Amino acid sequence: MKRMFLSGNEAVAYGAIDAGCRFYAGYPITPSSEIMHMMAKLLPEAGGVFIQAEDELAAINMIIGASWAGLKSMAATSGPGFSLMQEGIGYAVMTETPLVIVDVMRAGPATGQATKAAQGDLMQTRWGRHGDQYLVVLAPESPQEAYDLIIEAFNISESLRTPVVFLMDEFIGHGREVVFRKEPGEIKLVERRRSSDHEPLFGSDDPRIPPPMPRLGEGYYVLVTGSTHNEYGYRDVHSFETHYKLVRRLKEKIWGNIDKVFKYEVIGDPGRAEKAIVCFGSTCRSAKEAVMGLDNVLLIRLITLWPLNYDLLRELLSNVRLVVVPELSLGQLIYDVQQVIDSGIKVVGVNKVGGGVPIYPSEIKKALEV
Amino acid sequence: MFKIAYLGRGGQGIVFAATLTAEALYEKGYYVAQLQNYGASVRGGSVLGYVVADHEPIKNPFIEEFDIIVVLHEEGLKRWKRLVEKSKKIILDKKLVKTNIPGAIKAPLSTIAEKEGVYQALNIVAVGAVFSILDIEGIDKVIDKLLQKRKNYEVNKKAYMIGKRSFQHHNH
Repeated sequence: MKRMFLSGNEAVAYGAIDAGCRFYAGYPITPSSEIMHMMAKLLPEAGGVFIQAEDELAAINMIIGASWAGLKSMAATSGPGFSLMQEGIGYAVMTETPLVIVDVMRAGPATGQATKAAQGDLMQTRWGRHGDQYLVVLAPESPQEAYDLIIEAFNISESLRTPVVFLMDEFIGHGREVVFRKEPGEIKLVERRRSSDHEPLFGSDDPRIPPPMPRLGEGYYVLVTGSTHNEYGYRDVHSFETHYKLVRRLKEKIWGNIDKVFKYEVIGDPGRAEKAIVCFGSTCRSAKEAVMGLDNVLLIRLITLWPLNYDLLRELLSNVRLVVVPELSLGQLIYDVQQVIDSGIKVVGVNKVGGGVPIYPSEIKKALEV
Repeated sequence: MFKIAYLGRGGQGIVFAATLTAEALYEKGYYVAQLQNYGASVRGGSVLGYVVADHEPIKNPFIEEFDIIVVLHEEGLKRWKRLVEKSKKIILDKKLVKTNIPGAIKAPLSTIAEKEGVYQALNIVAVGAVFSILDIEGIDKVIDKLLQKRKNYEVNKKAYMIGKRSFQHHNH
């Protein structure tokens, strides 16, 4: 392990390199640009390729192409660029292309406040694309976790042949902290399953097992299309059966693997707690200080934001009478909480966004006093 | 645990003051968290940069009250006055900050920096002032090493030493 002093953005770049990422395309945007700066420096040293694209639309399509050429690929952006990437991300879902897209959130909508932290892109990471589409969303709480979790993001994207969205905010992206970088031997890496003969490349009997993925130039005749296709990749833009089967399988590929991809942290005893906090990202740092010394409060930190294990969340919250949901937005995660608890239980949002002002521990403590 | 903040105006090098402080404490073996709040402009607007350092990993970097806060411009104060008032040791630049805060120390940092010809390194004077209060063994050597890696070493070095001395003098 190597002790370093890194911003979350720098930690993401080191983690991506250590995860085996060898292609990056992006367009600079605050507060994500340092990821791009670092990848421009680190990728050539690692034998990879870095491209500054003309815009985010080009960037997302470049990483899709690079992934089909066999490289683990990544792009990083912030809200406005993430909005532009949606069409390409949907295409990546439909074509089952492993990718990692980092969104370092700033206050929005539109140009908003470029240098100020926010958490308002949560719903967009899940539902930003048209059609029936599912992918995985992960959210770290610190630069150290950004480093560790981006490696996991690549592993999930490879093992499920899916895009993974990595959701950070400006506080994590620009905040600098001590990060321990692992040695190559300390990291478990997952590689996508390569093609064997006669195995369909866009279908499988068990939807939880993604089909293998050939590399362009390996000799397989393969049509990669965003149109509805059968298990061999042939377009079928007419029949109910082909489309329904495809989108059902793509959904089940993500939700059927929830046990593998759903990560969370719990502080406190769900059996004894009367109150709870549900949070994600940097906001949980304040929440952790707020619950210090309070043994009747349960803290649930969601690391995986999608797919969300609603059953588990319901079970964890089954005994509480108050849930506090701090968010650097007007409230999005709060809908998940409201969905799993009985109507008599009070759910209180602590919502603050803009100006780069964090939610302080005292504000969460105050909400718990209700 | 140390909680140190620098507050001022865009262009004064507030973020760099926090960076230098954070890197020095990191080199001394501390767990460190450094955060900043700034606008999109290169000059003007309020800038806050702060550092939390501890022997344990930092649980929460979102600090509501600082041990030491150095305010180098009125513009920063306008926005973060409440945060400043909550801090334990408040150092206001005598010339650049007009507002009075009860219990604050008014230090002539910018006046001395101007007289000594290092006005552009007022941020480093502030770092010197902070470390004159914190008094961490061997910190000057670490700062020197960090400054050597950057441009304008001579000016910055002088500014740091002025900060250390001037504040000690003022304290007595």
